[in-house]
Amino acid sequence: MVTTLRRAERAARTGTATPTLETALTPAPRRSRLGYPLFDVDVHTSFRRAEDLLPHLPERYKRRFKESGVGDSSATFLSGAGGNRDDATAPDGSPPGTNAAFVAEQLLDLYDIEWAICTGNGILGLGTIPDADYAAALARAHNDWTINDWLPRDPRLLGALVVAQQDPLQAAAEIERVGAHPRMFEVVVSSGNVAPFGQRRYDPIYAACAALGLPFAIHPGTEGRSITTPPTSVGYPARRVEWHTNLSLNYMAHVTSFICEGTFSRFPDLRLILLEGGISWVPPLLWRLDSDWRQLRSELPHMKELPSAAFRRHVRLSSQPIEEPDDPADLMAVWELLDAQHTVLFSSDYPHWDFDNPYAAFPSSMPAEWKRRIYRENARELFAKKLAVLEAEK
Amino acid sequence: MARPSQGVPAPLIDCDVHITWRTTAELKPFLPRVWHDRLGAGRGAPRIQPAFHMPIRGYHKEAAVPLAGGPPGSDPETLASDWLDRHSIAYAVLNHYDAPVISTWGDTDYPVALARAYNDWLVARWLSHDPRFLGSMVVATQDPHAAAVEIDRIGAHPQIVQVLLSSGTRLAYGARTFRPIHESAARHGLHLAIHTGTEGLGTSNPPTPAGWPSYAIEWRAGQPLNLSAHLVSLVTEGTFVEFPGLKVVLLEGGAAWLTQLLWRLDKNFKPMRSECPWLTDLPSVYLKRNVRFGTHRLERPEDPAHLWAMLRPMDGSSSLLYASNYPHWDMEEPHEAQVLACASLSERQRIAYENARELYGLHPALAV
Repeated sequence: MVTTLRRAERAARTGTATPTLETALTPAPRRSRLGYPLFDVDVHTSFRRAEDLLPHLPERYKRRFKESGVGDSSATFLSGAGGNRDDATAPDGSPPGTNAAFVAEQLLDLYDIEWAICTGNGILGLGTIPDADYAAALARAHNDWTINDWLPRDPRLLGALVVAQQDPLQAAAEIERVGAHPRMFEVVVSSGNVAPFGQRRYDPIYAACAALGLPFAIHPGTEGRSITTPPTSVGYPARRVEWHTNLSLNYMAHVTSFICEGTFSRFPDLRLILLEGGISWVPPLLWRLDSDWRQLRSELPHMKELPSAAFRRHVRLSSQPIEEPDDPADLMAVWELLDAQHTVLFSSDYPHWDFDNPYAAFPSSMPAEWKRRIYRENARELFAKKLAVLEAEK
Repeated sequence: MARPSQGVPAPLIDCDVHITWRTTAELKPFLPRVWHDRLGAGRGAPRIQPAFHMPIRGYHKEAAVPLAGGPPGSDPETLASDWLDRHSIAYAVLNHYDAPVISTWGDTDYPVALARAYNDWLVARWLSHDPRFLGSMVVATQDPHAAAVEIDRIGAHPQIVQVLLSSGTRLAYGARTFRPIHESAARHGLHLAIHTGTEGLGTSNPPTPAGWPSYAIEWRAGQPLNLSAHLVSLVTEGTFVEFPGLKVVLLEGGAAWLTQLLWRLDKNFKPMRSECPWLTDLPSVYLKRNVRFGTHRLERPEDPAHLWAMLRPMDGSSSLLYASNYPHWDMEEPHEAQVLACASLSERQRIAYENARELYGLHPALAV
């Protein structure tokens, strides 16, 4: 396999290869040590150079993109920990997550990942750009690049449809434009935002998601940037360890909003995926919401069921970065409370620095049936309809 | 796991009892004349008025109304007989619900004057009345140096045990700008208490990291998030390294969320510890050692055993303090506190009495 890959890379370097690198993958991937192939819901891939996206952008934005890219990517809270794995740069020099053959070698083949959702790398900053039209154009360009230039490189790659939440109507139109593509599996936005995502102003997005059966996913990383609210309700953190730790607070506020605004009652088919926002905070939050709902429900007639019931039906959480207590039994006790067996989806976060190795992601004490559900079945159930079509064509 | 259910042992220490004035005129003797007009003006009196509608609020129907008039919690004798005597409470920490809101106001001089007036009123009307009353002084955090001066002025009073801060702020409490407050409080052996309720008020940040929610239930669900961010700041800025004896008491914002924060912050600290080289222990060590939580509005799962599954990894039996929230609408008598009802006898003794006694360095109560 290595020889085939090298040949493909050499061809890529010498310009003799077009994006047909999937030929490099024809050798059977390694079999997973777990005994079944995995589903990874958070793989960060991207275009290699700004020039790759330009053909998909309208003329009027080409110069702007070359000069300012995806908005304010100043990454106020990046520290020495960096953003990507040091070893994720491909042998041909492609930046991490931009060479499909190398993604296959380092992730998909190595761990027998059958399906991987590509959530972008750096593109979600478009959700923090003040100019809604430019942001929407970037989203369209990225989706067209994903469909035309990226997904064809490996049949295991699936697309996350990027939208700019600044203009929910344009976002909905974009979902309608490309959401029916068989390999576009979800809609993804940045969790840094101007408002909680459950609010009515975003309903057009959810109507489009529900109509097309696309889950709505939120990914962190833009908290506090550009037009977004301060990353905590006590303002701006002082350094990255603080900022990163606090990312899950933003998730708690967003999911509270979805539940308390009755978004799931208005869109019973809507599913929400909380990517990379932590997990073990769920039980205390739901206990608080359930008990408060019982006391305050006269003000909340649009909430049709217990918050914990709405959460259980509509919300899924990605596993990385997993919390790490000294005693793994403590983690399992808490995950039992949030029914992790049914609510958690495996994610590697490849090629980011805090990548979770699938073979070491969970405590060894986790029951085998939980692992099977988290590594594979929960995602397969969530994306069942589109997966059925793809697998029928295999 | 079944936990024995027994009565709550006496004596108790109640770490969150809300006092107030009959009218704000009670503050006037302690406030310079120049501010008197303002105190009587529409928005001159400290009052927490959230943007969200709460269908239930106000006072508990069983809390005693003073014979002389005024709301529950406005008369020392009535408070003592209706609450402390009835429940064998050895000490009660008196907090004014509204007073900390002055730190969210846009100006500086009036809040500084009002904090002084409040503290003098607290001593004169309450602390001198009953040795069981312990006081939370307030400061105006707009001017940390004036706040430190105020702590130096009044903080040595033997019954003043902590500085009560508003949860709603422009900056997290670990920020260096608050160092004079930490330093002065630590020097006087006082702790910092943060009470929820002011998130999003005045000049403070939006009440959730995602911005302004729509309903009171979301605002309330956001309160633990606010406290959590304060804690991360206090730990990573090294406040507890510099002032190891300083404790932070979090009131009405739950506690069960701390467990996952310990795990998350420790994990993040390991690769990023070069950002805060002053920390000589894992963040979880400071969080367990220097933070305490009131029991009122603790998370309340249907199955109490679930609560302890979250509380055990954070050493809940050492960090929780019984807090009633008397006389507000959702107050909890000792037997109504779920966490006490489902704790072992020794855990109950710690939460209802011993933890607070140690925290505030109180003399052991005589048999009540």
